Amino acid sequence: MDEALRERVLESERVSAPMTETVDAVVIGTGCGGAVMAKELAAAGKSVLMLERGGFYLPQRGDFDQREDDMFARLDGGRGLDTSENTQATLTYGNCVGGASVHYWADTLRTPKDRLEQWASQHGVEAHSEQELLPHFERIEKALNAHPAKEHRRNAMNRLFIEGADKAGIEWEPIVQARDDRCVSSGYCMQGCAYDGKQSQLVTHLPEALRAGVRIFADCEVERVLVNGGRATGVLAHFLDRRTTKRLGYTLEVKAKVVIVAAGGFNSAPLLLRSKIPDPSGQLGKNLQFNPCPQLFGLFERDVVMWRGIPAAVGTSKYRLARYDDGRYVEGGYLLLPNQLPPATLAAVLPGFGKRHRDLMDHAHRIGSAISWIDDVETGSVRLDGDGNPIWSWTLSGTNELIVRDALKKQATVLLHAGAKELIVPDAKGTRLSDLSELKKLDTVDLRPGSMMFASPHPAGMCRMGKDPAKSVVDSNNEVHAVKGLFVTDPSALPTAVSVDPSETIMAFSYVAAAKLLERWSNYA
Amino acid sequence: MRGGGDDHYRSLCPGATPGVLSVKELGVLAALCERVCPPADEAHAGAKVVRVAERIDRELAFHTPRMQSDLKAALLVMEHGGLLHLSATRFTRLAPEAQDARIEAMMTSSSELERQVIGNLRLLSLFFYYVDERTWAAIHYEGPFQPRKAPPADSRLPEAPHG
Repeated sequence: MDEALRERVLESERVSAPMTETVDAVVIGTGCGGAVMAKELAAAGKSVLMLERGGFYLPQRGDFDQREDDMFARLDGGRGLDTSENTQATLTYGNCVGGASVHYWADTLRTPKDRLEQWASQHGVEAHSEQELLPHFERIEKALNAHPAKEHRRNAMNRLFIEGADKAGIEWEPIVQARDDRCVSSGYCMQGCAYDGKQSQLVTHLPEALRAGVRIFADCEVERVLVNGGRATGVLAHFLDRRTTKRLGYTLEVKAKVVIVAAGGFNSAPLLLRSKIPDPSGQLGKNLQFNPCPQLFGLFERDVVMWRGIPAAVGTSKYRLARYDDGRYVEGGYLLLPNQLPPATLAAVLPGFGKRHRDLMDHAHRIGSAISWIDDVETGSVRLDGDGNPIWSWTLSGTNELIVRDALKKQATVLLHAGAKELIVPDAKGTRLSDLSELKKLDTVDLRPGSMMFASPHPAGMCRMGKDPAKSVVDSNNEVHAVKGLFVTDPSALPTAVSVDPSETIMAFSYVAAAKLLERWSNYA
Repeated sequence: MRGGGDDHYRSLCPGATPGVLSVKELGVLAALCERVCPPADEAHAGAKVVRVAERIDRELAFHTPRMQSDLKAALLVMEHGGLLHLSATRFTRLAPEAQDARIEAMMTSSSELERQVIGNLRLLSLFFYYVDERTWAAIHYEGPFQPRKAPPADSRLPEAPHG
């Protein structure tokens, strides 16, 4: 990002007094959903201010130093340590200019047609068919240089995945990636790309937005959306001291014709709850899905070094949709991918302690892994504590548990066929498997809270879209049913999880939302 | 049954000045970290040398009051939860082998609370041990390609090596 554009980003170290702003649109959040909205509105001549709770970090400043602890501290809302209330799910969410796109894996996939049809038929979502989204998908893919990962991008873990899948008779495919030639396959995608090779919002839509006149205030935490007479009128926010993460003592009041909430799948609903937004549906803060991720590890006799290279150049969508027989779960309901964990995160996930754990870590370079993104069935929710901070509730249960066990079996099948000598289950007992005849162990492995943890990469659903105000929070224009001029344009507005990486879906839905808002702009002027 | 005054807990983390945690809580955390990441040889320095407990204490300063109090409560359960295992002895007063047995029992306990407590303390210990560059050679990790730049809200100990 060039110097002139950087100047349009206000960081809290330059703030020394309370501020007020009057704009056409204020956008809360600078990830995939917010960035597209902001640039589209600005391109149409609207004055747009974006507010970002996290800091502004750039490779040009040496900020992306590739250390796990440093980068969790910079990029992640919970500094890598947030969990669901029962600690069963680890919650990672973007907290920086660029949002979660700064730490995502760069997988770029269109919304599956079946999911769009489900949203239309079950939730009454209108004007979001595959045909209607197609031009947006094409535009996004061009802007992000999205293309199937090339063969030279496959690291040792990816090659093992292919070998195992081939031997097990599981078809696999290259995964479409948002990268350009600056990607050096360093393996530090989750720590933020130090090379600008990954096409996050920080290198794509945000520079475009800034060129179109958007301003960004970083280190700026929105306390609440202001509503007057059933209409959104602005926001009240506080600047944060980036060194302490505490409030600096300076407020920001923004008066705006429209308020666009894009604070992320985990945090937009809490903001609306904190703002006491009317919720006649009772659905605000409910229906949380996030593609919980079980993962399995394999010890190989050759080096894997899974923390190098891009995370998932290949994978299989063969099992994406669950199969049921007469209503009874049979198989599937997940994507199956090679895994990538950096060393300290790997250590935290591997089971055991003391000498047994140390012996495993001594072979960390020979540990490979597979991961699955579960297409959730059961859901979680969020509520606020006395300080207004979110408490996310989620427990693995019901069909989700059956899907997790099936996914673990498929992971085991791939890893064993790839030559793993022993499989390590990250449960409290550290269950081990050494051949396919032991797959049945996965039917009873302990998945309860405190035994196994699940990553939660793709939150969705807590401000779900739908036609009926009695069953949904926002309409098909992303506008909150009960509050005029208040929009939610991030995965919170999706009726369910997407079943694939949601970034392209989020951007496409934002394009639709921006177009519809501009068509009806006179209603808000 | 021997109790534990501040001197006892201070001896478990000598020279440390707690920030968010109390002397007692930091002592319990240090004792646990030492069992989760015990020393073995030069390449496996162990949690005490890496000062994992102090690092976690510093990290807590950047988290919500609720998370801080949850962790404090977890350390209380860790220290005094022996009654659930028919032992009145505090965790920090147990011999190392008995501490390992207590940890093992908590990890597979029928009590969700116990599993959560040990599961999360174990996770914190391991993460903050293995982010320290002194542990990397033993696990065949060559380290990052970029020079370190401390984040604005930095929880590393000032004298820690900058890997």
